[in-house]
Amino acid sequence: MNSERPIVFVVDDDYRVRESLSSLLLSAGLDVAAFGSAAEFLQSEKPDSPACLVLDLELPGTSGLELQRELAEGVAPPIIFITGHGDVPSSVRAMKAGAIEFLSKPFGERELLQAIDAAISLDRISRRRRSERAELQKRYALLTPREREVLPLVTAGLANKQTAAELGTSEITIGVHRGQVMRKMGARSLAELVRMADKLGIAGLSEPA
Amino acid sequence: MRILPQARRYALAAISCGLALAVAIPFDAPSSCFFLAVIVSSVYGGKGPGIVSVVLSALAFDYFFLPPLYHFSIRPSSYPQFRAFLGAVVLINLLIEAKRRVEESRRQIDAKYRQVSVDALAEARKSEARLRLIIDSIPVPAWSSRADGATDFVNRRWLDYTGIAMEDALGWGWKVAYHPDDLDRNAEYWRSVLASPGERDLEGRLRRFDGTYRWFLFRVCPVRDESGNVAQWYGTCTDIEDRKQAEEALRASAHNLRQVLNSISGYVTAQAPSGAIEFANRPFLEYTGWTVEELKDWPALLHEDDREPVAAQWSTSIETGEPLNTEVRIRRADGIFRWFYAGVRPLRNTEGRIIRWYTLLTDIDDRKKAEEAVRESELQFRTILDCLPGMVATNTATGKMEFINRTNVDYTGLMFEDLRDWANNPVVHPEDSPVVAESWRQALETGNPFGDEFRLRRFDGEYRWMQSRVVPQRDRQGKIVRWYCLATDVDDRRKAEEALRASELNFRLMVDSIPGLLCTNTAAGEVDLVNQTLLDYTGKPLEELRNWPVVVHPGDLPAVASLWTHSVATGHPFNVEVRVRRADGVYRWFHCRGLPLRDTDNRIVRWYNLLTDIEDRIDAEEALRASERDLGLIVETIPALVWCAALDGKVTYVNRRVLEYAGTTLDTLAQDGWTNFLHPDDFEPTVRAWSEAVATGRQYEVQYRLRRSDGAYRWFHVLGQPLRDGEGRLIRWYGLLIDVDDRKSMEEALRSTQTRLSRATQIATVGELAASIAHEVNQPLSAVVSNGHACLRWLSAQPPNLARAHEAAERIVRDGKDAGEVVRRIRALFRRSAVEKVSLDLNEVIGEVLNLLRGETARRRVAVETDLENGLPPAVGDRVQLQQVILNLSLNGLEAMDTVPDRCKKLFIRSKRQNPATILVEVRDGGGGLKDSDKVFEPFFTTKENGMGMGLAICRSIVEAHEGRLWAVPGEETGATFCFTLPVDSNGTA
Repeated sequence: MNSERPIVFVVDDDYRVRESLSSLLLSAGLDVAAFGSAAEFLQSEKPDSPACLVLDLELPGTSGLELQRELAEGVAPPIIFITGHGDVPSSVRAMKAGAIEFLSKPFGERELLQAIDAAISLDRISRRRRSERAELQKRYALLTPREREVLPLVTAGLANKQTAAELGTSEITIGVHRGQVMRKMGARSLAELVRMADKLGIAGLSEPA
Repeated sequence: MRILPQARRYALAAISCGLALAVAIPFDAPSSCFFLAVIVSSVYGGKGPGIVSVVLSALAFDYFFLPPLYHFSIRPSSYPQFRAFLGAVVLINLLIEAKRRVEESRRQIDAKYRQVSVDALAEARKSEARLRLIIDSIPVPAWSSRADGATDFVNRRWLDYTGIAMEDALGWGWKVAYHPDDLDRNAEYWRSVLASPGERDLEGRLRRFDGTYRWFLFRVCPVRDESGNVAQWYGTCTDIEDRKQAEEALRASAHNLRQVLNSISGYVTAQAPSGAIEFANRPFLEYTGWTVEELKDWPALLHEDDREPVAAQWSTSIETGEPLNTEVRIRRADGIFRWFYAGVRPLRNTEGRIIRWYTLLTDIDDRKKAEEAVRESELQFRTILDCLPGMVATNTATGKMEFINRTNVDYTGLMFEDLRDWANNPVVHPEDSPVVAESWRQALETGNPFGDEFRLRRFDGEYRWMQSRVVPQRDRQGKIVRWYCLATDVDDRRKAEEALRASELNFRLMVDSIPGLLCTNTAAGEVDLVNQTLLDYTGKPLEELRNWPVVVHPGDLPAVASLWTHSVATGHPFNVEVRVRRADGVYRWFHCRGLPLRDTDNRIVRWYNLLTDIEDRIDAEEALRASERDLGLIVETIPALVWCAALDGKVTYVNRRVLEYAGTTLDTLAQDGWTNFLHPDDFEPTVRAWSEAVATGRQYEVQYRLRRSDGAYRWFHVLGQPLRDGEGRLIRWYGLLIDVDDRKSMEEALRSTQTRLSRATQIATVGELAASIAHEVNQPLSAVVSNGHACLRWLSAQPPNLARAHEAAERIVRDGKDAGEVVRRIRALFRRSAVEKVSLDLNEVIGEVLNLLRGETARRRVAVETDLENGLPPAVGDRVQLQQVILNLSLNGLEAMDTVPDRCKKLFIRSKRQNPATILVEVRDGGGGLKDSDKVFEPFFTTKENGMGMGLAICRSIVEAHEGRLWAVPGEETGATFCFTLPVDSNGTA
């Protein structure tokens, strides 16, 4: 499996649309997987590669908007909505919920392919972010509890002395901890450590009142 | 010789020795003296003193007489002397001792002998006494006599018996005790006995002390001496009086028995164990006329029918020893057979062996005949019972049925067991069964006879009335032994009674209820009987009515009275109209007719008079006339055309308005027929409907156009109603023509308005669908565009992928066609064409609408379900209009579900054949439901924000224009169902 070869998921109940889209996207050099309903899509196994979802708004059973809502709860590819109605309230809702594009049938090749390009690059970015974050978390998991206590104080910009005072220990000990933290997190500089803590969502020092 | 006492004897020895010494000394003869002394001592003193005297004598002799004298020593010379002396004395002593010893022993022997003889004597004496006692006490008189016969002893009993003293009896004295008659015999007896001695018996009478004689058996027994001569006779007398008497009695009894046997009416025979007849009593011999000898062949006496069985039985009995009881016919001397009962019993000896058979034959001929007679009479009785035309049953004292005659069985067709259980089966009518059971219960309680009437089922299932009579039979103690029941079929009588009663009642009712007044009069003209109506009318009792003139109007009385007198006198029927006074005093007109009843001699027996109230008739006639007049007026004046036709359809009457309208006359109309006035287009169907109505007699209702006098045609609604008589026969037709021309034009106008309105709504509806339609078109269009792009890309790829491009191009063609189809469908909806009713398949129409709605339902997220009946018959209608109805109803349903959660959004459409003539279509939604299921059909009623409120109203008018019906049914909780029906196309197929 080429993890870098993007894939496009098409979900539409109209076989004509599925067929034509599959053909078009294939001709544009994209991998395509087409599904007749939201359920089929959810049940299918998805490759670990950059992807986007071309989703019909009106689906039997779970509707496009519902599927979008459902996917938003987990890791989901960016969504491009297509619709035969193109009524305003639905499109607004779709876009608000984070859709990349909202295309009214019939739509042109360019619009679609551009939207797909955009969506896939977006997905690439988010995939990269996700993997970075996962790496950081793995590293963070290596820290001892004490080191986890030291980390936010350091990233908050406290000097060793202050940190030692805060935790009620010696400056030298803090120094050792700090070195350990830098090493385990793989940070080459304090600034990098601060960015990592930020990415991990570790707030700086929570100032006591 | 006596032995002296011991001391004296020794003293004697000593003294004798002293004396001897004393004597000897002087006499010097010592030896003799001493010898004497020893003798005396030994003889009288015995042995001891003898020895003592010997010793003393020896000593004394030695001392005193042998030298040396006075010394005990002896010179040897004196030894012989001494020895001699000693020897002599010792010898003497010994001799004497020996002698005494002999004597002693002899004396002892003597004493002994003497004792023995005394004992023997005593014994003998005792024995004799005992013997005598025995002899005296043996319970028979006994005696002994000498050889010559003279009695020398009689025992006590003899003496006691005869009361004679011993002395008188001895010798020949005993003869006095003998019965004088027996003496000779006795003497002879003795002679014979004496002549040849031996034991002999003799019987004779012996007088008792009281003078009565008793029979005795005398027996003598000789005792012979050594030489064999008779020494003594011993005899006993044994009292045989009782035996003698018994013998006598026995003899008498045997005699009697024979007498009895010979004189009893039964016949007795005795047979040997082998069966041979040994004895027959005289009656039997007389009966048979045979002798005992001849009777050996007894089977010949039996009736030939009985011979073999009896012989067989008899031989069995002989074999087994069983008693035999049989009935047999035995021939009398005169050849007539009579019935006998034969009882044969064996007589057995103590070892159980049969020694004889006894037969008792009892003449049972009469009994037998009586039995026969009884049997015959019973049979006869039975036959009578069975032939009785009533049902007879007897019941036990407890009411249990024990006998029924055959009539019961024949009538009910049931067997005894079923009849016995009558209470539990329907042989007695279920309504009567408890009554009968109750009667029985009471009867059993009280013992009274009773009777019932009840219905009994005949074999063919018909219940008929029975009259029963149940009577108890009592024994002498008055206890009920049996119940006798007789049931008689009273059904006919009962029915006749009932009929009579009914007829009487009927008659009575008739008489009392006929609306005329009836009275009968005697031949003399006097009132006899009147009916209730008359009593009620006049309000007077019969007694007062006897004076009938009081109720006749005084004005009519003279004429009536004279007429009546005339009729009574001549017998002419009486006929008059007369006013009679009613109870309230009002006089009413009556028509009175009187007819005489005559007997066979043509004499008048009675008059029957009927008074008919003619007052009302007169009134009614008047009223009828008035009513007819009114009716004619009404018919002529009502603003409708009225006609009347004969059975064949020919017009017989029309009212004035018809004539005015058509500008013709009744005659012309009747002659030329009314059909001339019909619009040519209506002629054919109208004539057909009318002739059909005439043929079937069914109500007739049509609409047609009639030409007015000015030539204009107007629409009429025509009703024809047949008039029937009481039996349902057609008499004539009445009809009404109502001018509906104005209404008709109005309807026409309305219909065209409606059509236009419907069109408008249709367009509005389609407008509502615009979004859906766009979707429908956009789908294939979108596919076409994408496929186009794809095709181009495949073509422009390096190298071009022709296969893919070809596929894409094919899809473009396909999807393009789809889009065209959608557009065509939509156009059809908008098509404006004239209403055109054709035969069509409603399922197809529904399918078209759903096709159209697919986008809409998807957009509204509504699931559509259908249940379309297969093989639905075709309906007649305008396709576009019906599409519009279904579309409208479906859209309403979809819109109604806008506000409910998605899972409830379901539109359900069903079609089915409701009945052979109707198709039902239902459109059900899951929306909020209906508040008022009627109001929704009103024009301008709407629940939608921008609805016109015309949709359902138009739908209803369309459906009704199709002769169908449209209505709404609210759902149980939510939703609503809209239903419409359409008639099935009866002419063809879709």
